[in-house]
Amino acid sequence: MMENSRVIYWNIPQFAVWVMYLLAVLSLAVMVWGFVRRLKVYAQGQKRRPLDQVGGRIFRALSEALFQQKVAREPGIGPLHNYFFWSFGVLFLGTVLVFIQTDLTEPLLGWMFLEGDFYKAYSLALDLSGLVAVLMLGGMFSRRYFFGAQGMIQKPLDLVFYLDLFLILGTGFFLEGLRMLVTELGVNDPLSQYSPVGLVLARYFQLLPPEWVLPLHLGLWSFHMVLVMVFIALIPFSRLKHLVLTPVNYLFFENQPKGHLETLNLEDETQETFGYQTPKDLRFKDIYDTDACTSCARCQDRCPAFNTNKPLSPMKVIEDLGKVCFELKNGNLAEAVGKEALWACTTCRACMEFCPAEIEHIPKIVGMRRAMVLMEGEFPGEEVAKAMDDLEVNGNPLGFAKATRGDWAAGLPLVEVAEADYVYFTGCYGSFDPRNQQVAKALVKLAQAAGVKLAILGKEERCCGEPARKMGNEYLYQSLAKENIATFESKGVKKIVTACPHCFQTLGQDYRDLGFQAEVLHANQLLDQLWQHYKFKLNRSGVKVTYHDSCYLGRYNNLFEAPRNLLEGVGVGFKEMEKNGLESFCCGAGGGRILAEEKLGTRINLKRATMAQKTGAELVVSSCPFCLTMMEDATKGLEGEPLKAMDLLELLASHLPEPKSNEGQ
Amino acid sequence: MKAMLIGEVVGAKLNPSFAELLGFAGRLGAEVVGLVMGDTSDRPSFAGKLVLAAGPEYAPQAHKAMVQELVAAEKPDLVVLVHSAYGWDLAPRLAVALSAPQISEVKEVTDGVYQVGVCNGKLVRQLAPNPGLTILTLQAGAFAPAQESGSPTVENKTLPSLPGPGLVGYKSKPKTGVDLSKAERIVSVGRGIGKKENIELARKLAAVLKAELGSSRPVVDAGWIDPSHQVGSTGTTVAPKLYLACGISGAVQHLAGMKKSELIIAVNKDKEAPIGEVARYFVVADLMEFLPALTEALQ
Amino acid sequence: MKILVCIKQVADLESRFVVPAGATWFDEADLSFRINEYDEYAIEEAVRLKESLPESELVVLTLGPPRAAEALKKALAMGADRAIHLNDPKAQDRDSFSVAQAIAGAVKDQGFDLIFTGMQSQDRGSGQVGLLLSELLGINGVSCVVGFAKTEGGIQVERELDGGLRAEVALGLPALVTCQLGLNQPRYPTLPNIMKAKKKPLETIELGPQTAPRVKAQGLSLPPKRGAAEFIEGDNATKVAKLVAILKEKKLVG
Repeated sequence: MMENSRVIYWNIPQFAVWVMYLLAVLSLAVMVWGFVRRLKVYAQGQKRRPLDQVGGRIFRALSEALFQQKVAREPGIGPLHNYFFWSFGVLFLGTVLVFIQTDLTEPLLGWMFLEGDFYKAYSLALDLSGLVAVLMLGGMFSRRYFFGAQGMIQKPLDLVFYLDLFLILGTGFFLEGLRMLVTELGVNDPLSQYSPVGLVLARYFQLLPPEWVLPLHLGLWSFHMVLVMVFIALIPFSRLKHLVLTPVNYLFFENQPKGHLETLNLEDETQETFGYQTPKDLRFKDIYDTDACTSCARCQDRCPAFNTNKPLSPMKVIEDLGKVCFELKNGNLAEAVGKEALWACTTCRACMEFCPAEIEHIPKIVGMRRAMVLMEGEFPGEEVAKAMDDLEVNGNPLGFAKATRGDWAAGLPLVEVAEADYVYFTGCYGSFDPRNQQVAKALVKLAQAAGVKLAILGKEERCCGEPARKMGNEYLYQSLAKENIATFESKGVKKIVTACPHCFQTLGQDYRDLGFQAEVLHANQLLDQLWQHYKFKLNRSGVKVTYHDSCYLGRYNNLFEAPRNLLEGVGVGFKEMEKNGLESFCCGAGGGRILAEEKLGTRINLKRATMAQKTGAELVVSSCPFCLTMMEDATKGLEGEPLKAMDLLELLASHLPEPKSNEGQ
Repeated sequence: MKAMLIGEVVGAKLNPSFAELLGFAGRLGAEVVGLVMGDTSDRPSFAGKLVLAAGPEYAPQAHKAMVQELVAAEKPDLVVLVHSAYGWDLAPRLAVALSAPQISEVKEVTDGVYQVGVCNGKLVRQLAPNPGLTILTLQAGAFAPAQESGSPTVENKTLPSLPGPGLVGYKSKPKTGVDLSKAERIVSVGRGIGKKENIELARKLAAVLKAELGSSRPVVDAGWIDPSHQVGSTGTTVAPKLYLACGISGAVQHLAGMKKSELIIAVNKDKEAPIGEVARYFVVADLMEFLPALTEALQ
Repeated sequence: MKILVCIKQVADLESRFVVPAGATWFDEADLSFRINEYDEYAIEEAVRLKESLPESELVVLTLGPPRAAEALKKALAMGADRAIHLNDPKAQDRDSFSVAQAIAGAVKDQGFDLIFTGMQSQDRGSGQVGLLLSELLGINGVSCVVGFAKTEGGIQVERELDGGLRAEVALGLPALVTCQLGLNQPRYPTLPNIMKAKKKPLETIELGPQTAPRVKAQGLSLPPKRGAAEFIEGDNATKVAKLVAILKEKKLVG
């Protein structure tokens, strides 16, 4: 009976093996050098804090690297990439096993394990993996160069490594076929069944003149080895660097709630620069991110600014930052990225949510905005500078007198702060915008129906500071925040509800950094809780609605279910937009853009309203004053079927039964 | 009572607002001494005395000296100018030179107590000057111009030549597209205008009213008009004398950008539109009918 | 060169003003205050001039109650070198002349080459203090400036007149100019400058009560109440006629 195995380095002279090892050491050295030289680029930034929870980080990095959940989220390229990765991984593992046996276990212990049934499985696994790898690589290649993938960055080396990979896989199969022609075909036919692809090739190679086979095999083997060495050496110099850099980036992820931005220490008088002006202001992770980016364009595909012809692509921001960092000249970041691009961001977080490489776009964009505002006094337009001035003087960006902030609530059933179950933080739009005052009144009505006592701060409330903060004005944000925190603390406020996702995010999370600890709920959460506990009743109706997920409620805080539960409560004919949930498309007003004129490209709100219209809904329901403002404006200009914009709270309040039949409590 | 009225000469022309000074003096029943400094052939018609002082039309030191000389001779109770670039520039100089109280931008007077607007007209202040000569500047348009009647006795003088600020020349303000921020009158359109073509109706009305054309954001959003026309906190903030809002419901961002206008007139089908909160007059009308009829009536 | 800029802190015009019975000025509780908008242009122009001239000093001065120090801090953050606060808790009772007199008294011996002020304040709007000050100091003065240039031995300015016309005026130093809106684009102070401003000198001079005002305030009142909008309804011709009558009454059409 024939041995179920193969001779390693069959037909390869010993000196060729030595040359191979020499080349391997050389190419590994090139690779290591290629990575080490980046360290001085990374070192330009601020000192990195030591990593916390190292075990968890390593686990997460390994799990993302091996299972690629984030990569898989994208239809098409996700599975292609993953199957290629896994099949190529098997081939790599196969090679490692050969190395272990020939250079470690056999010479040292005399133990050979690539034999028998294990060898059969090994053979089959490698053979099929090779086939899968070729197919997947072909798929990725044609996506990149022939179909679909728009706006991808093409680099000259991309083509080189694609070619290199194709040739490595191809020559691998040819080598297998040539060897099998001699060692298995007609010699150990049952074994050859475990290498189906190799077998097919071996059968074709029977057509070759027999005296060609051995020299051809040796020649191809040498070529194959050179290709592999080229591949290894190419890793740090091409897109292939992501094999190493991207998984490592999972180690560095910010262990903070979504949407966290660094709270600058403005008391520190030794501090001379604020925000990201040059690479030395960046965090280690910011610089590393620029290197870990694989330019996959998932961020760009989802960016509301990019999709309305504005000069912003999150991918390009990262690329441009990388260029400045790698120049090692401490150049100006905002100028390299483009100021218009930086101002165009709505901080909708779609880029970060879908980035498979754990890149943090928004902290960088806000960091550069901070440098523009705090160091240069620059804003995207005069209207924003005026809003900042109004925030400073009157505590709201609309320029209304601060003393009139509580006027909307005159005559409504509100209680004193000390007696309230929740303080309703009304926000600037709820307080001053006649349209959003309707929403505020709806919340008061719903709370009354559910037996919840609300109070407001009235003229003592100030803007939460969110638009100023996202525009980069950390100084103004902190002064507003401190005023609000002092007011809350002086009144002993412990529980807060708000109908604005921006206030919600800011009071509930950002204020934590400033020492504020009260419980903060969005109205949707509170009402969902009350609804689940039968605290109020709703009439049902059949109006056709679709729901627009606010970025700060959805992507930032994962509050997708509460509004949908409540919509179900009124029994409306509900239809989702194609882009909903985590994929929701921003209304255009986040990131402080509510204060700014949309001067470039087409209108984001119009694009979103058109998506809502496509569902056939009569109402586009949202849960954010900024979204409502944007949708109101957009629906007025919409051609075709009429669409109305409404806040969920208004819809619910309009479905409350008449007071006398209300026995919900 | 005797009032010295000082006319304003720009480009060798006497500003017709001189008639408002005459109207004011007429209301007080004051004897009039007119003073016109600068080289102009314009002659106001009124009963009284007119002093014509030849020389440069803007030379504050010389003008001040001439008024001083004339006040010493005529002993008026009031020296009155229009609150304009000329009047507010000369009056404080006279107040120091003549050691007299000065009251600016008077819009009403009763029994020697003057009413002036403060805080952009949100409040009215009542002011009483110390007895003796008082310098006044009158709010433009606050006092009805006097009908032209009579002819004054004319006295000719020449302005002294004194060092100080001197006029180099005139030039026109550079024009750059639509600058709504300084427009005195704005006709503004909202989504209620219906479609892009209808904006022409508002444009015609604006031409008749010598107004600039403004718009709300949705009109810009819809691509019906250039963004430079957008009024509001995310566009241009305006404070014209007249703001005629056509088919604008009044989103808060729009209101924030125009509510400081002196006179706001809304034209809208919907009586409930929030623009009613800031408007003085609210025409409940269909724009397609109303705008062409109004334009025609004004032509 | 020694430069002075005189500023005033005023109530935000959006405020809801309340006038207590018999008072001659409004109640300041619950109001927001800011630098008089015209003065921001004055500060900006002064800072630009200072930045273009090495070895120059820029002093900012205000006359007002203790709260007015906030305005000085912002001016320091915009680029002034030091500040003088003529403190008078009853500043609102002063007439324009006594304000100008107090400022003239404080600065007459300091040898300023150029003084910038706003053309008028947003609250009182009299437009007097600037030129009263230049006259009291016996220096050249010019009002309503929308263009400013330093020339050999003096300055040349553009004054804004009615109807889009501008007058170019030349004058020698020392001089005072009052600044009209649109003269420049006032800067937003940078954070490092806000922090530096905290350490710049701010001198407070207590003013005694004003003596012998020339003009006495007798009262302050709200104008006749303008309630909600007056609706104009009826058939089209009636509505047009009514509106034309209103426009005529307001002298908006001939």
